[in-house]
Amino acid sequence: MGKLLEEIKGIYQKRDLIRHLVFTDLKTHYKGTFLGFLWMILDPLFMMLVYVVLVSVVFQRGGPQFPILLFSALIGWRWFLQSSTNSLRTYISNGKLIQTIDVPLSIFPITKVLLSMTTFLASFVPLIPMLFVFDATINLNFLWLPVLIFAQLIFVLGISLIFSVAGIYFSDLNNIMQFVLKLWFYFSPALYNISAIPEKYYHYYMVINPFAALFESYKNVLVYGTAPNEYMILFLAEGVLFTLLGLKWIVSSRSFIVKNI
Amino acid sequence: MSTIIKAENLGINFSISKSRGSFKVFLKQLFKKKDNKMFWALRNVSFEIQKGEILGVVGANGSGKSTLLRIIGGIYKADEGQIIVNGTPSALLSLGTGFRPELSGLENILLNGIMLGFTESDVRAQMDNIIDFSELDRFIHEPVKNYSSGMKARLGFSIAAYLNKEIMLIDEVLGVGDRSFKRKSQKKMTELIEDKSKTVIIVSHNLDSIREYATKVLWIDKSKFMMLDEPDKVIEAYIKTQ
Repeated sequence: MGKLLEEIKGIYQKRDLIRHLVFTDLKTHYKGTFLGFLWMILDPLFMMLVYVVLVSVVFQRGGPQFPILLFSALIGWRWFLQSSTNSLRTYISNGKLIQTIDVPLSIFPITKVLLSMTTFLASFVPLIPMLFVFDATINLNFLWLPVLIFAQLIFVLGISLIFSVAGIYFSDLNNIMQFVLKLWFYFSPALYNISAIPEKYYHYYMVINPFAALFESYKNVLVYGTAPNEYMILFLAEGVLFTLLGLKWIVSSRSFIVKNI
Repeated sequence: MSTIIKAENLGINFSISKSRGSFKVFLKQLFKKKDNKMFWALRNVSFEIQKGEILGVVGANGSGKSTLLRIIGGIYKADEGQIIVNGTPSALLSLGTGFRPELSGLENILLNGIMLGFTESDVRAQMDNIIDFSELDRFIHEPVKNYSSGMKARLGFSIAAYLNKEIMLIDEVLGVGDRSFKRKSQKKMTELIEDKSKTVIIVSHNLDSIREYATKVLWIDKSKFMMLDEPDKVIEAYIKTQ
């Protein structure tokens, strides 16, 4: 427990470094492209467009609000997807640095989480006008948004911390995850409505898939003007649990990681 | 005089079989199974350094010198014995570690300084000195990926020369660059090393510079402690075994 607190203290002390690493990553990521930071907005829009063509045009489904419902869920998914997959190899790609300076290892996955969070927040630039175009109901429930973002931050952080260590032990995880995460997305209510799930399985579905609660809540708050899904409590609890477990695993594996990268 | 570093029976082991990316390793660790294929990269090493002293470390390749620096720097934790470090060490291990090729020299100075544990205003206060010393002039605004290796080394050295803490860990970097810059950087290094407020640990194969700077020399061979004494005595004994 003492070591865990030490790690958290270390993260706080290195907040300047974290801020600079995020900023640097952001700058280098889009450097050299003609449109630069505009890609932060265009990337999710294009991804949405692909699915809209598939669902609305090819399969003639989804309904008039489909693009905005999809987009509300998609941007949150992208945040999770980018952080977790980038965390898998973060110690290996920073190996030389880790063997030169004494820093808490967790700052590397944290940097990845904050980097993709920035992209997520940038997606609100196209999202807000889309809410008006697609006739979303905007009322006081919109104020839940910061709460949802905070809950997602904790959850994404937890998974990314765990993945950062897991990536050291299982090199194949990178390949496996490409596939598993894709399936997980189709298993979550982004491309379809939650009502597609039969009533009697609803409870199990919500418990098994934390992203169901998150996606539903984003849709409720942003598009329908209703309160978040009640399973968000479970989502947040899992997030806190994963974060603590992840930090603990990093602390206890530190010596192995530093010696073996 | 106050003791800055005190190491007692320091030991650190590495596993031969263990390597990352293996599921077996994970299971072994999970069940706390002892790994018997260990080798000690360093064992039974004891020494003490007072403030202002300069410890030279000599030994053949692979004897554990850089491992020792990493233990002092807090990167590796000792598996045996203990080490007390009173102060913040700054590693001058490999110059230019952590440079981002897409960023300019200027941006890299800032990032590197913060990585080394300085605040942004600390780094900015030394910025002009660093740029002047590196002699990079207008190239400082170019991305580091366009630098020659000599330019990169000069920038790395200049950062290390102006941004260091009370304990300096120097691994084979006593001078870099072309002839004139080498002379200049050696002079700067001498200045830093002889600064009485700094405690210095130098790892080098260059016995002449060890003899010149060190006030005390530690000799390790094949991970084992051999000798700790006056520079002349240790170097004489070390040369005989070569």
